[in-house]
Amino acid sequence: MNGSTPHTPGLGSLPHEPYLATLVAGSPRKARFVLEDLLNQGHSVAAILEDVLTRAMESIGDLWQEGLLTVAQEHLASAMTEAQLAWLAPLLPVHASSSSLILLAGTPGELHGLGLRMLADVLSADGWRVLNLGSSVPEDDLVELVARRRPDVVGLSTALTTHLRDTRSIAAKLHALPDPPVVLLGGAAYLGNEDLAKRVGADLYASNAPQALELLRPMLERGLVAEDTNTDADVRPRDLALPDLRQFETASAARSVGVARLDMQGRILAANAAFERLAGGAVVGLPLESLVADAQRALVRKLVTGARPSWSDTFLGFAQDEEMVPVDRAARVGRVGGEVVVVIEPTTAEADRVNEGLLALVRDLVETQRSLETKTTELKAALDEVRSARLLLRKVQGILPICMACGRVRDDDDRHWVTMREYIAHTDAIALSHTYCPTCAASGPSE
Amino acid sequence: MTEPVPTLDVSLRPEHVAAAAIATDRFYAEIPEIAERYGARGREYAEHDHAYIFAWAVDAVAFDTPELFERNALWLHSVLTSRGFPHAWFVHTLELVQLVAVEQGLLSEADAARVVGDVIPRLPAMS
Ligand code: B12
Repeated sequence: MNGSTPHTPGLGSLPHEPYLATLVAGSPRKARFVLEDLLNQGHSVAAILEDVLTRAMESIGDLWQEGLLTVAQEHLASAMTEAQLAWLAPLLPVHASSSSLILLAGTPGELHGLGLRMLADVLSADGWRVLNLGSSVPEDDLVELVARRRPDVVGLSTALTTHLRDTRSIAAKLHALPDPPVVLLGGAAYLGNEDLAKRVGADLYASNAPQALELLRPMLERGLVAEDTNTDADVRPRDLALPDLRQFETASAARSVGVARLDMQGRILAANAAFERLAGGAVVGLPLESLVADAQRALVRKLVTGARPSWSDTFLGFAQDEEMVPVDRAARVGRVGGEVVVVIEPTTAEADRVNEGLLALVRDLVETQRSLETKTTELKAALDEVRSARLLLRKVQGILPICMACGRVRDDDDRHWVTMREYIAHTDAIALSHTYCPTCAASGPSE
Repeated sequence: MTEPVPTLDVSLRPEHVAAAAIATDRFYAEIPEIAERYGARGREYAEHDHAYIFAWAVDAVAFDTPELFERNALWLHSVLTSRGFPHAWFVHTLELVQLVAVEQGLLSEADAARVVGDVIPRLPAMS
């Protein structure tokens, strides 16, 4: 179609239409199922990001352009895709870690941030240290931060061609820094035209995330940390077909709840210490079914083969005689073998969201506690005031013993006799102000 | 037209906005029917769109990439005509942009013809 955006070259030929249909229908659950099916069929996360998410979003733009979708529907599609990215990105295979730093930002005024986010995810899985500042970053602030953090690469994302002038100005300022970074440019505004990117100021240009990875690989490898530099290329974690296990270990290690990861056949790929303790020994390689009582087997099988949610990204948790925290969207499938509860925690990202919820709860509690403490202090102060007011009242109202010889009055007890002036000053309810009464004033100052 | 008029982008220069006001005035004087059809909001849209068209033309020359103007013009043509804006009106919009850009000193006559004029006969006649 004339005028529509050129389609980014993808990695392969995964169909994006089923996912697009869920975006148009505005149905996030179905969107997730479509992507899980692709994972279950063995497609890589990288291919799904590029061929499905990116392509479908391009089509969303085309549909809006042709007047077939409203701005609201376009927004919904963006939000839905962002949510899918949140659970897909942690499944990207992790490369060795590098000290190389890349700073990513959207040019001023640029609200398109999904491309940046996708780039940030794949680069960080590839081993980069990534600082993603997100969309629309003011020019001077950006340059100042680059001067301070001195990243190896600065990646600028621009979707609208009207932002290219600002991009050119930023690129020039970055090149003028004492320790200039490599300037990597990308985004729909370049129309896939590398010459244009060079004219704007690119040292490097990539039309999509996988291309950017390849271009940056030599720089990444320069920064590889010592322990990883000897890694045999053949056995790098990124070459494993299985989703990232490191992510799994970090997410589950500290949990008191048993957590296991299953492969697509329902066999245990990995389990945390709590899981093995509860299951009574080593479990890796065993089918989950073999660990549960006969009565529960059908249920577990249904869960495994029902493929919803899929096992490639699903954790199972075991806990003994313990109420499970109901995890967002989790299926609590009941007791197994009379004493074990199985829960499904769909993804690390969702579990993290639950943790965030818990944190918010704790923060609320701390807040309440603090305000209670403040109230108590205020109450104490008010009580003190009442006490001293009462004391004062007693003093003012009581009969005041006065010495007939020196004129001193009794303060509190028999041992303390003070002048009337001291007494009044002491009560602190009355302040003395120095002046002359009319009689004394008439006879002139006494000095 | 239920969508709000978008606010002008930070990247638009005052000279593009000023040229947009002139081109819009002229368009409205020459084709009064547009005012009846789209009302006051339509005028705001028109000024907004014109400002972008000038920016695209100036950028296409500055970056020596006529494609920048062509792709954006084809895109806007598709956005507008699919929402019922007549093809002939869009053609006239570009003709006025070509003239006003030269008058306002945004582009030389040659550049305006090379970048803007060149696209006009290639707009897909539809609507
Ligand atoms: C979603 C979207 C929005 C969302 C953005 C939400 C968000 N949180 O990001 C919202 C609603 C805010 C939006 C607003 C607008 N949008 Co919009 N938007 C889109 C849409 C549909 C998808 C963009 C997207 O997320 N794609 C998915 C990502 C993953 O792809 P990507 O951004 O291209 O990134 C990939 C590559 O480009 C590359 N990449 C990106 N950045 C970088 C950076 C580096 C360093 C590198 C190496 C690579 C790289 O890697 C990524 C992965 O491969 C596009 C359609 C399209 N064809 O792109 C329109 C589109 C870009 N928008 C468009 C328009 C017109 C607008 C608006 C002016 C009006 C409107 N439609 O609402 C405003 C302008 C706002 C502004 N000032 O920026 C037009 C632009 C047309 C043109 N000629 O310029 C498009 C093309 C839609 C269309 N066909 O009409 N939009």
